[in-house]
Amino acid sequence: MAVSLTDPLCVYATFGGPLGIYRSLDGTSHWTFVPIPGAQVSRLLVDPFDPQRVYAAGSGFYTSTDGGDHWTGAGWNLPPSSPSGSFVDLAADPDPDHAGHLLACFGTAGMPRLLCSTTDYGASWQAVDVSPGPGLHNPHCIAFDRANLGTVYFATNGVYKSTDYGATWQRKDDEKQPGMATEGEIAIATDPKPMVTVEGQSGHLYRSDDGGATWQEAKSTEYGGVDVFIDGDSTRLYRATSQGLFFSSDAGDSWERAAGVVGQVQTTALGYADMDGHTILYAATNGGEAKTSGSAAAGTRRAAHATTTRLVGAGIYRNVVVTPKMTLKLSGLSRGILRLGKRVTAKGVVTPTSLAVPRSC
Amino acid sequence: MLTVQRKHDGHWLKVASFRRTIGTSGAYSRTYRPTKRRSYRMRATFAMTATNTSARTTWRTFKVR
Repeated sequence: MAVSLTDPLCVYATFGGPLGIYRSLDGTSHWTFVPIPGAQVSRLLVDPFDPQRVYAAGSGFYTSTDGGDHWTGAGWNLPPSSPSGSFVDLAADPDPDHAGHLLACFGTAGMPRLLCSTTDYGASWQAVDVSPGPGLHNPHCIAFDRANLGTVYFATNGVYKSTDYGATWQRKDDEKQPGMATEGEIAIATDPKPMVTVEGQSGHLYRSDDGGATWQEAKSTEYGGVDVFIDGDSTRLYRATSQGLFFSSDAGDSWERAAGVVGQVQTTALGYADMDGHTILYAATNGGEAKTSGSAAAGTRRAAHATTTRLVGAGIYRNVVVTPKMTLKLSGLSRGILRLGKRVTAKGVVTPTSLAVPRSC
Repeated sequence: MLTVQRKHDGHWLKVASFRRTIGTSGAYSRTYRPTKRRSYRMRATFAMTATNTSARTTWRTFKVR
């Protein structure tokens, strides 16, 4: 899934099917199938500097420069020149001086995956040398640090970091934490506290606030999945898991199941964009059964639990996460002074408290 | 969450916190009676939920005499 940076209601999605992708221009209410002849797309990305430029990667690499109306195959020039490979991940450099610089993980059946780089919007690719690293097995997830231009991480059988746009790499995972040495997901927060998180084995989450020099394991685990810091905010961590969508406001120490059906069924991808001061959150699901339980009427000696099952359709669900404003006024004071023994009254209001707009496709 | 701090030796110490449930109007209210002649300050915070981000006010300071 990919969301336009300038039009938060413009969403691109692939379900791994052949021959094209889906595009919605109204925030998932309606979808249009856009054909890409010969393509089997697994990754989508909107260019950070040109919202009309969209990348589709999978069994090949395709580019659109008109918002997805038309696509062209960029060909493939990367050794080994195997047409049977596929892209595993794709990320764009956030440095405006490096527009067109993309990194990708590319896998070929029976061979180790490659980390690849392009500086011309995908027209030509080069394999990236990660040596003298202790061994590059299967690059899985790439994440650029927007707050530190030139810094990029990728996860493989460990966590690697580059501070020169991917020219040289250093292994950064904690060797005392063997659970980190896995093909996990990387998420990067930029404020109010810079933080890098890596999802390790069995959903364990590791975080670093010093650029990967030291790591701390989060207190709570909640299945493995795709982690995203919404808008780089370290207090807004979401995790798409096989058990549903969860969120954490304490960097993974505790998790809460998201409200609605997306908190109940497998979620596979996340996307977001800001609009009018609020965040539009998109979650993709394969669907399934959502079960909610509740107790019977009070007064019974033994609570009888009723379970309601709802069939949830596969698709992409939208939710608006409100950024509320909060006021506080103190009364009972005289020129900022309160007499001992008197009470001060704190009053305020939070507006708005909720504008949830669940939609499905 | 409404937090009350009191100044002590140049530092702010937490002396009380009150968890309130916000109604549909979004309004909240709470009274507090300080017990010492000191400087106090209060701040309200709003926890992140499934459909809201977190929010907080600035500190409001007052003196008790």
